[in-house]
Amino acid sequence: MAKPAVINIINANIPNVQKSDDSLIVLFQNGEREVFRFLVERYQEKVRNIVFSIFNDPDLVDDISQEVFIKVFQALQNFRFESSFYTWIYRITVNKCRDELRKKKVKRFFSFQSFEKTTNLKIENMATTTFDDENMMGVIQETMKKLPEKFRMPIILKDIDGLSYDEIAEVLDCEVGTVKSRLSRGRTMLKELLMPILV
Amino acid sequence: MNQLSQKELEQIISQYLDGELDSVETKKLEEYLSTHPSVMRDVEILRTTKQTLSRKEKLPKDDWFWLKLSNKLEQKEFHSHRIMPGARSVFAFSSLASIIFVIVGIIYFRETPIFHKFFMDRKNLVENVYRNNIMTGNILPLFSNLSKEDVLNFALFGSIGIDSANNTSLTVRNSEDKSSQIQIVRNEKLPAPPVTIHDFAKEIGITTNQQEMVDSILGSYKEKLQASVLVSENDEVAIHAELIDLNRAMVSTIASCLEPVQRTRFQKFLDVRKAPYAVVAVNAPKLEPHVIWNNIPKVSSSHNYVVISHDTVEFAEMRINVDSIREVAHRHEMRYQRLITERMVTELTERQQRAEENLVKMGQNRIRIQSSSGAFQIHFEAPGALSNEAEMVEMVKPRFRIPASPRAMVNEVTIIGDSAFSFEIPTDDQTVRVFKRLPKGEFHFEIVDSMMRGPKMKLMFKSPSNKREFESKLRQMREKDHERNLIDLDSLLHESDKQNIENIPSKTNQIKKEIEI
Repeated sequence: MAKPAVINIINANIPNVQKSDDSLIVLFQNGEREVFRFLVERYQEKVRNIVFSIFNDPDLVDDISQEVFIKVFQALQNFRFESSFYTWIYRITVNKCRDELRKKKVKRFFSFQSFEKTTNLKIENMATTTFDDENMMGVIQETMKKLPEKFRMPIILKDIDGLSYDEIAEVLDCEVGTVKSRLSRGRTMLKELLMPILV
Repeated sequence: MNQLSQKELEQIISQYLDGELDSVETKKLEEYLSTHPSVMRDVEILRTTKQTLSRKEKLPKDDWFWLKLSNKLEQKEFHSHRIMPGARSVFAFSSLASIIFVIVGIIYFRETPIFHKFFMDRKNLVENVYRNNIMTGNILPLFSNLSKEDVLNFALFGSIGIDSANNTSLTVRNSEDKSSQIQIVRNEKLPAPPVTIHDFAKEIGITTNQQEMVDSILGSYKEKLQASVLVSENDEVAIHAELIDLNRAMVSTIASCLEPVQRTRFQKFLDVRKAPYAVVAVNAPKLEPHVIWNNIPKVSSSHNYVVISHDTVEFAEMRINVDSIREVAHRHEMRYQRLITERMVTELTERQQRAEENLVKMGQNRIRIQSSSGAFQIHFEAPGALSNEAEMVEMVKPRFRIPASPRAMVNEVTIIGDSAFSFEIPTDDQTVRVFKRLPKGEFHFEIVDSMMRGPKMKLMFKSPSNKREFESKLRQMREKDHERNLIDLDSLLHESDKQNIENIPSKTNQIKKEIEI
C-alpha cells in the first residue's frame, strides 16, 4: 500500500473525527500530533478487549493497552502503509501481550508456586461440578491457559475477535496455511482437555 | 473422507466450524459425520467451545482512557527530552552523588529526633491518604472553563451553575451569625440574572485603571475557584473548606479598590439585586493596588477538603498540584467538562434522593452534610476556622442569616394515651440547640444510649391541657416529609419563638440609611 500523500488535501473540509485512518496518519506524520487522539478513541476499545481476551484479567488491561498506544505513538511516524492500520495495531497489541506473557512465565518460573499445578487443581475442581452457560466460559478460559501461546493466540483472534484467516496471518506474521494448522491443532488440544470435564 | 489422515480431518473440521469450506466439501463432511457419531461428538464439543468464546463479554467503555494515556505519553515525552544522550553521563554521576549524599545524611542524622519526626510525618501523611483511599484515579476541577463573568457573578451572588441544562447550581451562603453553607440544588434558577463586566463597570462608574484591577482580581480568584471543587474519575467530590469564604473575599477585594462614592454605588448595585452581601466600610479609603494584591489569598498546594464519595464523607488534608490538574483540565476542556458535569449531577441527584446526614469532625470544627428533598448541603458550624486565609479584607458583611432549619430522622413516633407522643432523634449540637428553644413544660427529654444505634435524644411532647394543639403537632410530625421520616425540628416551636430568631437584615437597614444621607 502506497503512502496516500494527497489525502490531507482531499479531506481538508472533513472533521478529524470522520477522517479515515490513513488521512489521520498522514496528518500525524506531517506534524499534527493532536490527531493521534482520534486514532486512540477509534481503537481503544478494540485494543482493551484484545488484551482482556488474552489475559482475562481486567487489572492488566489498562497498563498494557496504554503501553500499546505509546508504542503506536512512537512508531507511527515510520508507518509505511504496507498493511492497514487496523492489522498493524492488532500486531502491536498481540506482540505486547506476548512480551507480557513471557515476563509472567519468567516470574512463575522463579516463584515457588507452580502455575501448572494451580491450573491443574482448578480444572480438577471444575470436573466435579456441573456446567451451565454461565460458568462454561470460565471453564474454557481456564483450560485455554494450558495451551501453548502459539496455538492459543489464533483461537483468541478467530473465535473471540472474529478476524479472518488472512488478518490473523498478517497479525501473527505467518502464512495462512500456518494459521489454519495452528487453529486446528489448538482446537484439538482444547477439545482433549475439555473432554473429561464436559462429557 | 475416509482416506484422510487424522490431522487432515481435524483441519477440515476446524475450517468447517469457521465456515471456510465450500458447499461440496461441507456436504461431504456432513455425510461423513452422519456415519461417524464419535467424530460428530467431537465436532459438537468444538462448536460449543467456539460459540461460547464468541459470546465473551466486552469490557465496559473507558471514558477516561485518553486522559490517562495522554498523561503517560507526556511523561514519556518529558523524560525523553530531559535525558539527552550527551547528558546521560552527567545524570549518572549526579545520581550516584545524590545516593551517596542521602546515605551519608541518613547515617549522620539517624539519631536526630527532628529528622526522624520529619520523615515520620511525611510517611504518616502519605499512609493516611492511601489508607483512607481519599480520591482515587484522575482528579479534575469541576469548574475548568470559567469566564471572568462567571467569577464575577459568583462573587456577587455566591452562585455558580454546574449544569445549565438541568439548572443545577452550587451556592455558597454566609450567614450573619458566622455560620456558612454550601448548597447544591437542582432545578433551581440562579438567584439573579447574570451581570456582565460591562454592566458592572458602567453602573459603578469605574475608571480604566480600576477596570484593569478588577480584571486581575477576577483572574486571580478564578484560579482559586477552579481549585475549590474537584471531581475524581471515580465520582468522588472534594470541596475545599475555603470555598465558604471565597465570594465574600472577592466582593471585599473589589470593594477595596473603589473610591467611597463608587462604593456607595456598589452598595446600591448589590442591594437592588438582593446580593447576599452589604458593603460595611463605605467611607474607608481606597486601598493601593499593591496592598489589594497582597491581600488576595494565593492558591496553596495543601488544603483541607471535604471529600464526598459514594459511601463516606470525610474531612481530609489533600496535597494537590493545582497547576497540573488545571492544565490537564484545560487541555481536555470540552470533552471532560461535559463528562464530569454529567457524573457530578448524577451523583448528587442520587444523594439528594437518599435522605441522609453525616457529621464530620476535625478538631474543634464540625461540618454537617445533609442530603434530602432535592438539596445537598454542607453546613460549616465553625466558620473561618477552617480557612487558611487569615488576611481577609473585611469590606463586606453577609446581610442575611441562613434560616436555621435542622432536620432530623425520626424512626418511629410512639403515641402515649391521647395527650402525648414521643420520638427519638440523633443527639448532636444542633438538635440540642433546638431543644433549648422548645416551649418549656410541653416537652420532656432524656438521652437514650442504645447499644445498636448509638446515643439518641428521646423527646416527649405532652399537652394534656390543649388537645387541639396536641393533634395538630402530631399531624405536623407525621405529614412532614412523611416518606423519608424527616421532620423540621423548627416545626415543633411556637410561632412566637420562631419570630425571635427570624432573619433580620440589620446591616442592610443601616447601610440604606447611610446611602440616603
